[in-house]
Amino acid sequence: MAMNERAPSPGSAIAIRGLSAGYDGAPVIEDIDLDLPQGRLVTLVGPNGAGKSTLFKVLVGILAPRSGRVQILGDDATRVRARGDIAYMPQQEQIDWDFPASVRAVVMSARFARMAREPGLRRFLPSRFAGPDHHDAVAAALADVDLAALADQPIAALSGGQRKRTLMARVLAQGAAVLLLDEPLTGVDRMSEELIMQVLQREKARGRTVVTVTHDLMSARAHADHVVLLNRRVIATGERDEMLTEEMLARTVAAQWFGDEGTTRAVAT
Amino acid sequence: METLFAFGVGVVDALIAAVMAVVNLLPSALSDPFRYGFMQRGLLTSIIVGGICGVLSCYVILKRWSLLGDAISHAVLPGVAIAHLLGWPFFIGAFLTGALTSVGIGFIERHTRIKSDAAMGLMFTAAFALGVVIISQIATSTHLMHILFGNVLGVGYPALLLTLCAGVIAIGAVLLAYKPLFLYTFDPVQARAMGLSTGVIHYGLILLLTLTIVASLETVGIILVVAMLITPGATAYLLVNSLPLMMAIAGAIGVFSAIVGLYLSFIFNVASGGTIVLVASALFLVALILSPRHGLLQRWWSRQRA
Repeated sequence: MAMNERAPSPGSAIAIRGLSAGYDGAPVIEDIDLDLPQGRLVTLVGPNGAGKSTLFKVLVGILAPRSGRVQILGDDATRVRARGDIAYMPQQEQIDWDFPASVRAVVMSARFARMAREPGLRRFLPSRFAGPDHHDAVAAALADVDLAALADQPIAALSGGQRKRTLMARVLAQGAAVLLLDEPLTGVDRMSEELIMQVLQREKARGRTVVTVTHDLMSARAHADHVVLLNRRVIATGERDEMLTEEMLARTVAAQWFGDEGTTRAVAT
Repeated sequence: METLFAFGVGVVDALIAAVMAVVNLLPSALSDPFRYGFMQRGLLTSIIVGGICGVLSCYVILKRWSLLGDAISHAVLPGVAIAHLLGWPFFIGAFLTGALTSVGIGFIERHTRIKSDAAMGLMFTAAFALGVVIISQIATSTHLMHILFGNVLGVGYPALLLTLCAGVIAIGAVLLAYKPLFLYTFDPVQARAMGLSTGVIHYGLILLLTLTIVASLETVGIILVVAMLITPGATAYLLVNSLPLMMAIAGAIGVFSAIVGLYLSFIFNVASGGTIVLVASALFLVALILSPRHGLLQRWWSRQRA
């Protein structure tokens, strides 16, 4: 990993105020207030249709919020994205694995935003001619996920776990302060899972904020520090052990069944 | 303006001289047809058109924009007709209606429940119908045939200059914007997350496509240009696993098909646009059967061994 990237500033990594967002029809998430602590592994937990992916789409910038504000690292989200400080790992199905590219080319693409901001004509040249810091970052990211030997393979030739690790390497190579990972452990083998968690713990130790989405409670129990229970709004947020109790999970699910009143009733019982 | 045109003619003549220097190295049986000025201009036009169509066809394949290419190429027709009515250069009208239609398709997709294939089919047939109606009023049927199917042997200096400019713009844009184009084509969500304006890239690519189509009008015509925007890219897609290499091979296939097609059309006295497309299709067939990784022969062979 290149060390010349900007250290994240202190404070909450992501601050959301009054956020509503959705597609045609009723909003999927409504009036969300949320502060995600910096330098921790945060997991969004909630049932299907709870709006986890919708919230991610807003953070990534592919869905414009209907109302509300998102600040990342104390700055406007658009600006943070433009300086390459938000890295995103999609689910595997969202990627066309027949695309004509090598593992290295995919990981290198994470550096394109940084290259584009460099002065001079070099940024227009093929990435082969990019500065050594870019090549170092890519090589380090590939080594981190144990893909250095496969770097020049076409992505079409990879197995499921290798594909996931390629996407992980792309996230690492970007050198972003905030890492958004959509179901990072779904469909991977044990070895890939361990590798991915290892690098995420290290990124965290470097002060980076890791936010994951999962519907898998087991992996949230095993890896998260901080948990956000989400079901169209924030049900609760806090330390993992306080959040992943039977009672809190029941409350999260009940919010979908009964709406707002249901939540109160479920807590009362 | 006139000095600019004279300069352009000078550039074109220099390029033709350069191409002819290569052609003259060939045995005279092959180089003979290119003694004529109209064949030389046709050759240069075909090379440029084959090259830019080939390179852009990679993006058409990877973005699954075949139908969009078809739509834009048909939508160019009313523009040509209207430009003719108003006495404008035809490419201005063609470019305008082509671009307008692609914006219209995007609008219908985004603001109604109609899906993109229907939106495209709807818009381009409407535009094409409008073009046919206008042209039936103003022009002779040979003129319509030339627009629909191209007439590369009738290319004069103005059209050749336009093609050259379009070629320089398209190739320059694709080379300079390779990185954003890669990000947008491979993973538009990642492109967004990195702060790129995917809307600008999307419509920029569509404009490039429109420009290429307009530049190809005289060579292969409206109906067949879409073949040159699909076949070279599809052929290269079967052969390699790297986008820069795919672009290079597709460009080369486009140029090769254009040259060979032009030559064969002269020898056998058949339509040039159709011949160029047939050569490209034949190359695709060869790749389909023989490709080392994705070819039918390879698949059959590995199944036999399994």
